[in-house]
Amino acid sequence: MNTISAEFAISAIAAAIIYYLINPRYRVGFLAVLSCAFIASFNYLLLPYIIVYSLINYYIGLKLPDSKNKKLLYRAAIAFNILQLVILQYSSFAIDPFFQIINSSFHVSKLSEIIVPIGISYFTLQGIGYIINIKMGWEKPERNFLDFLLYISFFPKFLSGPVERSNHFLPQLKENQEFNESEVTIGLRIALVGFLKKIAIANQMSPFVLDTFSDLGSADGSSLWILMLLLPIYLYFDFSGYTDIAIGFARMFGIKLLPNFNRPFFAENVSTFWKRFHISLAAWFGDYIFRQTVFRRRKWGVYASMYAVFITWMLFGIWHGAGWNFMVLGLLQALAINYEFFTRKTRYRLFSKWPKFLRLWFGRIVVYLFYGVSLVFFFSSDLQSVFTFFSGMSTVEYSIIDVLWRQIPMSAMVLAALFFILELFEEDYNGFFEKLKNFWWDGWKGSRFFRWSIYSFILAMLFVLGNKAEQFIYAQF
Amino acid sequence: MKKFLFKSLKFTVFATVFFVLLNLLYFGIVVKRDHGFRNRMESLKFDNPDFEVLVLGASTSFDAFDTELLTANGYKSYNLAIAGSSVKTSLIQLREYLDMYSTKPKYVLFGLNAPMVTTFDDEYVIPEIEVTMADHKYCLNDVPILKFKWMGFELLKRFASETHREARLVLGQLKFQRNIPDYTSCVEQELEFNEYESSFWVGEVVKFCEDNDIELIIIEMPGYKETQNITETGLHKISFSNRYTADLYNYNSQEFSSMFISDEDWVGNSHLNEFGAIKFTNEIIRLLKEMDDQL
Repeated sequence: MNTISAEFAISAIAAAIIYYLINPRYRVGFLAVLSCAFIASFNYLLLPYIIVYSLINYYIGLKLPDSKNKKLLYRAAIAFNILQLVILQYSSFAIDPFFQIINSSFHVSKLSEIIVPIGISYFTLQGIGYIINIKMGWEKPERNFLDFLLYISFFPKFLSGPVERSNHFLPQLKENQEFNESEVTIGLRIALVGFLKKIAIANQMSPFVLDTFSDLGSADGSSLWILMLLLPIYLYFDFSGYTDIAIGFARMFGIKLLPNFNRPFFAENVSTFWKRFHISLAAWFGDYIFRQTVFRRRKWGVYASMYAVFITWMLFGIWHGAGWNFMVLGLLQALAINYEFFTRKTRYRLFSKWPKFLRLWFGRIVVYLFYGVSLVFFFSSDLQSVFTFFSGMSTVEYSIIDVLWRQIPMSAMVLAALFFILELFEEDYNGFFEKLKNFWWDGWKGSRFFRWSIYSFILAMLFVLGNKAEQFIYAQF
Repeated sequence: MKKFLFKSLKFTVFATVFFVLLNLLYFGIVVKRDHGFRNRMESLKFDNPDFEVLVLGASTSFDAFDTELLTANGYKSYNLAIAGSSVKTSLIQLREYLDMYSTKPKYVLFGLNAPMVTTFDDEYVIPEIEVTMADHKYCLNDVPILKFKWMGFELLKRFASETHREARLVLGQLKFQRNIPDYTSCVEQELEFNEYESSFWVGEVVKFCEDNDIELIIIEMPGYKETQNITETGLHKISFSNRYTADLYNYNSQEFSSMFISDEDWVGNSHLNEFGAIKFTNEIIRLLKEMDDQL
């Protein structure tokens, strides 16, 4: 079932009503069954795979604290998680070439055509995170298998996250989820905003983005410049739209998922940017890879951090896909973060005399452009395409404004600008933003009529623009 | 929970009423403001029209035939072409026109673009015509904000851009002053007569005009260099499977289209602006005069 569809939204709302009508004792079971049905709607074989995967991690989690061979069991658990990910996601890149060397026609990657590994990058990180938490004693093992299965398979987050933490998700299932009108309506509102971002902005931009990338050789320089500048906005609305839908629907069931975005384009440097963009993933890598690596190499002093940054971001890049372009994507982030770390004092001396406003916006623009360049690696199919992209940028034939005007629907541009203006107010002009919030909620007599009109207008827009639902970018991971 | 469900029901009713009102408002706006719709509504309300020349076709004809200039030169005319029209739509418009009004036109100028369409036999009827046809049965698919979605985007463009706002509708022609230069290059290609001759609906237009004693002139419309051909301008005689024949002028030949200046005469994607339309229409006037002399 496509998450960006009216049938998904209606099913989720109907499920939420049933959820609150049934006995609280059966609610987790109900959500687990729903999630299993959701997974099976993509691929029947994926469902038993997820159940077995959950069962193995659940069992290891139970055995780990009291095991005599704790280290061995822990390593086996991590190896199992990584191995199944490599087999189903990276075999064409990491395993099949070895078979080709020995002239074998055997292809491990064929397995991923049988068990379509949707959401594997996400649930694997969740599985590994759980095992590490247990091993480190940060969390007690989960004794209820249904709860654990739901942690792995919960349908709003299954396809593209947020990457949940077991010690954040599982305790919520133990609480008695009473019906809370305010939580349900907040959830609905967040989901509505998510649909708006995805359908009215990202999907409107996607024909230009995807068509240009599918035929980079014939794209002119103006389109490529526009594309590079547009990519961060496109990915942001695509992915944060999906995340809002996931967070909103989860909230309707009384479950709060981890946040994934926090006004990322107002970050002044790359290090801060990654605390605001795809937060749950960056934080996962930060906690489980970066910190562990720094700890293990602590004798290296400051170079331990440098080394850990490279390891973390290379893995972060590879997590996105099997290709050198993804490695370069990670490498670029690592270089930028290390550069920022080692030049902090120099940059402070250089820029401290600048007015704060200029310093702030200079940083924001540089971060945005840097991320735009990075995303060329993200969206390109391989390094050759990246080269074609950058070399094509030198041949500008048409006016960039003309291309923008002709290729990007204005409604999407206007809506994106509105979102950014609101984010700007929230970031830099908090007092004014609070006034706006008051105006929205309770400032005047007809405020409810006004709000309902806006919601209805958004629904009408989604009805008009949502005829052709498109898949979201991060669903491929 | 009951309170929440009741509130949800209230919101559903509110949203439904809002949706209906929004559609009514939107429909009212597009009927009044969209050039294609205005053209259509105008053509349904003529008071005893005595047009000697009628123009049919899609957007390239909508922009290119300067009916004001034709009228000033003694050919009282109206441009019925609407953006996106299929050949079937044009035939429906012509049939309707003859059913509604007693005076037949002497000439029908039918502008088509072989390189811009995959076939002349698309079965769709453009929404502006479809919903205003006398025998149209309304259904859920006719929700205006969906059916006329693209018109909303066009209106937004006009709202935001002065160059889009300056477009005028005069005697059915859409006049633009702005220029989007043609950066494309010529290629060696012939005009595909077969696309015309094998088309059922073009054949039907030819048959209908002949049966009604109307002089039909089919025109391959001028386009950007990449669409132009090396075939002679003509006159070409083309014949159809229904055994009818018609005259075709290939005004998309490189020879003819060399009169258009890239950074003066185009309004984008093979469409002529007001200045290009004047050049083109002067040639049409010359052609009509020649035909009058022969008659």
